[in-house]
Amino acid sequence: MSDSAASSDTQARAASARQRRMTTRASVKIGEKLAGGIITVGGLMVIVAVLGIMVFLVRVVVPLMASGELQGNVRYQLDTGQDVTWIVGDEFQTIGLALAAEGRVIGYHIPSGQEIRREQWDFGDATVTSVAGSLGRDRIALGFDDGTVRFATLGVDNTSTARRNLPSGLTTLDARDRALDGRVFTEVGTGDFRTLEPIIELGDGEQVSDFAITAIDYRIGGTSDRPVFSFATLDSDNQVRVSRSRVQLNMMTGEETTTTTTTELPPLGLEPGVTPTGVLVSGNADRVLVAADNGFVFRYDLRDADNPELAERIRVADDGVGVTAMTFLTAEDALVVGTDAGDLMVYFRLQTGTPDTTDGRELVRARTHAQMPAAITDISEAQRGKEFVATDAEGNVWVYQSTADQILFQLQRSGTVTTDSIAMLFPRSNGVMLASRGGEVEAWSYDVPHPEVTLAVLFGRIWYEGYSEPGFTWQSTAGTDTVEPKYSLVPLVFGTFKAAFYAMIFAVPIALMAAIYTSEFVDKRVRGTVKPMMEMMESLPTVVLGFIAALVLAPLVEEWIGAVLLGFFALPMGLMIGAFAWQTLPAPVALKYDGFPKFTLMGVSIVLTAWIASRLGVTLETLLFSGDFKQWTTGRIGTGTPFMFLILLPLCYFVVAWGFRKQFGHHYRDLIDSMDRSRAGMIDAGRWMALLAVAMGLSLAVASLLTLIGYDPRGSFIDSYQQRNALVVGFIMAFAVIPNIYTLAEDALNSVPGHLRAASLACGATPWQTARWVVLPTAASGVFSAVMMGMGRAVGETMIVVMAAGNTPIMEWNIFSGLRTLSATIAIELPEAVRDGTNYRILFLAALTLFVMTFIINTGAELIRQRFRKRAFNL
Amino acid sequence: MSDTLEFEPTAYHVKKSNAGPALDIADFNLWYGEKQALFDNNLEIQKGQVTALIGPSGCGKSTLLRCLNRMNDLVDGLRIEGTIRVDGFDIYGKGVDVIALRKRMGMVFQKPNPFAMSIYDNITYPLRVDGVTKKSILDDTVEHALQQAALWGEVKDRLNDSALGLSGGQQQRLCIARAVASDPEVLLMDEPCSALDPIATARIEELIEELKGTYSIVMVTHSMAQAARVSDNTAFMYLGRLIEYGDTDTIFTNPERARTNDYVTGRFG
Repeated sequence: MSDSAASSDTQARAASARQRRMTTRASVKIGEKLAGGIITVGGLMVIVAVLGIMVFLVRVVVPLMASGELQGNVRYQLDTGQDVTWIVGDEFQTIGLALAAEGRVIGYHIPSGQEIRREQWDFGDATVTSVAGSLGRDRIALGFDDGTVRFATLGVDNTSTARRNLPSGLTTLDARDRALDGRVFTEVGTGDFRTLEPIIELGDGEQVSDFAITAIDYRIGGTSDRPVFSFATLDSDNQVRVSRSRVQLNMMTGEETTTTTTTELPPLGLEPGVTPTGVLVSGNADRVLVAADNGFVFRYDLRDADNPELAERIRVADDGVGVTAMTFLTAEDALVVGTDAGDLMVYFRLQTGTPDTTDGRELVRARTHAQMPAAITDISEAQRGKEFVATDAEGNVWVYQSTADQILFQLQRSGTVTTDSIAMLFPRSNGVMLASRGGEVEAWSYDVPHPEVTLAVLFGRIWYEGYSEPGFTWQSTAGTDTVEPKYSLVPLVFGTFKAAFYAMIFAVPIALMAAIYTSEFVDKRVRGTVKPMMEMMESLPTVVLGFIAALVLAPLVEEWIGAVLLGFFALPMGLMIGAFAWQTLPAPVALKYDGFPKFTLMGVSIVLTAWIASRLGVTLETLLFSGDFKQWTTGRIGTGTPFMFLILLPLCYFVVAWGFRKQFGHHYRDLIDSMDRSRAGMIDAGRWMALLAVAMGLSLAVASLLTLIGYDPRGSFIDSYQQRNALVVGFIMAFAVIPNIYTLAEDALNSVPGHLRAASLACGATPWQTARWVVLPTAASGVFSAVMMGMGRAVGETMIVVMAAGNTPIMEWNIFSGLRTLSATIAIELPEAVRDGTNYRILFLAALTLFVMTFIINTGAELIRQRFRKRAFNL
Repeated sequence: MSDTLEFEPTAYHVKKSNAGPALDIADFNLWYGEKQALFDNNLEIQKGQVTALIGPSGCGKSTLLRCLNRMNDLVDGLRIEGTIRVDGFDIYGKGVDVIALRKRMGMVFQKPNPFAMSIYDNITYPLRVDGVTKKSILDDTVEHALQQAALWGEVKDRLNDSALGLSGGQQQRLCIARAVASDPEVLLMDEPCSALDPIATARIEELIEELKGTYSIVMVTHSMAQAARVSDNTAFMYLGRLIEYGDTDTIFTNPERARTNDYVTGRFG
């Protein structure tokens, strides 16, 4: 019974065994397919994700470079009757207002040209001969042929009307707009109606001259509570005057009184036949500029209002070429000048080294824009940004972006071309309106999303207003509306490399030495403790490191800078002295205490040296740096010799040691070999000190020589000290990078086959010789990629630099100054950037640049790595 | 084998050389941590002769070989007892310069392991780590060592090519040349032919024949035929114990110990 059961069991097992051999179970097959599928999909997803990020970045960035798009162009004739002297349009390009010389004001619907309002100002017998508007164009000053000046408001008021409050009896202007009583209603998305209403008010007059006012400029300065109205006039007698009006509110009566003071400026001293063509006044009335048709611009200095003087007379155009138009760009530092030869130039008022002027400043040509085909007839600046529109005698209407030095649009008048047309840019810089004297109006609307951005702006030297020379500047948010943001990525790329460079200077030697130490010199147990500890270092959040760097290390280093500098030299020396002291011990003693006691002694010697360095730091400063290192770095005291002495010392030591080895190496070896251990140790220590002394002498000699020939490190890689500096960043960032480099390099060294190491050791090589000549060359490719991975990490590192680098986008290698990296900029500015705005897109460009940089570093590293690898295995 | 715990004392019938012993291993015990790997080994390596260490895998023959130039030093938890004397001084004694010792004991490994350098640099490596930089000395050494290793004719025109471009047999002969370049007294060979084809093996064996006399050679081998062919004396080890040590012919034809007989006749191993 039991026998048969056993035999059937055996049979069944045999049968199942046979079955197992014949087929694979379905679940195994499915599992195999599934795993293959999932892995493939996963891999593809990774590729897609990386490419997707790239595509996303590019998509955000590309519109920066997009050229503008013309959206509309209208032309019609207004019934102005008389000469049009001024036009203004609102920011929605809905209502335009035109003023004729004898006082008729026409309000019209810009898209359709229909008249919606008509007023008549009473000028008496006088006729308007010149008009100037404040920056927003809505407050104007009118100059008359009888020498009077009157103020007026010609603008558009913007309110909102709910649908239920919409009045009846509206006339339809076009598909979008409806009008009633001169008001225009535009439905906006929310169901409300934007209500635009012309403001047409004529103010008081002021007699400033006995002659006709031929040119006028008008600015509103001061504060919004207590504005100061300044205007400069030029009369037909070529007299220039500046007037300032102050509005004072009588507290008792609530009455406003305007007091105007007019100053006559010194005569221009023009030769007969030369006519001034324009006048400009700055917002606080401390500068007046006059252009003349002999190609000169005159600059008055009015900082002392009671004592105005003609500060400068400068030829801006060739002989025989007259200045026909000029205007300030916003901020009033840049002067755009147009000539009858079609030239457009931008001048900055700068404090130069050798001015011929009375106030120490002069107008310097900063840019020459593309020339227009015919004489410039009018230049009108934008209310925001650095755009302006210029018209020429042949009907060309070109819109420029001055800083980026590009032409945004080249428009051509389609109607009658006249030389006396008036042009304006709409407040949002998204359109141009132009009116000829005869009342023919032409308007264009367009869209240029980022007019101020070109490749040259992002990566080239740009001469910004207020700067004395072209340069790379990053200043994405300006203090005031009139200052433009500056978007050069170069200082950020520079800062990124600077931070990475200084981090690598600290990280690479330490990490590689540590890797060699644990892979070649210690047994597995020590390695098993050290390696996880180094890896734990990596898990420290960089925000904590940055915090420590900024709040602990930076002030500490600042206070103890002398000691820190000394430490760089004292620590290696302390260790060397310790090593030599160990050498002099008798061999049995040395062997007995080889393990832990030696280690402890090393630690003690490090601590002791650090302590000595901290005591002697001040002495070092007194001895070498005239008592104050931070003062010394500014270059005001002392010479460059002491610092160069310190820098050159290690180099000199290597030269001296190499020379010694070359000359006396053999004899010295024989000598040492013939002695016992401790005597040899003493002799060797003596040799070391002698070499060090010689090296110090050599270093001092070279440093003095460098000073003699006029080289001073201050101003290049050493300059004035800032608390948040590259030294601190480099040090702490090295802390973050070391585990990366260490782990990878250690793995690479460790993966060198043991039989090579054994072969070298069996040849009688020391562990160091083995590491240096056999292990390192074989692992070179891995070690190199470890360094490059560390570099990649340092380049992309964010939190440490945000917190400790000071974030100053300056371009100097000075180890004691701050820096601003691409990644820190993105982290700082992106939360504040308006979505799809210029800054937003440029930050994405910064991200893309970072991406490309790391891509190039990694690719380069990989190529070099391949070469190393080839060499290691092929020679 | 059920009688593993019962061991008779080692049987000796060594063919002595005229020059006396090169190495004297006495009462040598070795532990890896708690595990003992060598038990009371006593043997004298004869100067100018080839001594083969044979035995089944794990019997401790490689361990013993690596003790002779202290290549085992870096192994964790290694502990030894007993002495190994070279010219009367104990290589495990206090204050022994291991680096200097290794220069007296050239070593050739199981797998050819030339460095990723040129042939020339491979051979001069033992001299360069010693600080020799003089070109003429280096050149002489390279030629001499390569001739000793019977490789000179094959590579003399491409001394600056990578050593890794050589065939396996050539690489191993290069390693022998490297080992003799530092002019050692003893050559330690750890299964030098196990990674080579029969033709290359034959060449190495010829080479060993030529080198013996100049150097005392200690060779670990798995191939009993090879031991029989090239060695003067053979030591049979089993489970860390030296079972029999003596004249190669006697070991292979008429061993004193039954276990030796079982092994050389292929009954186990």
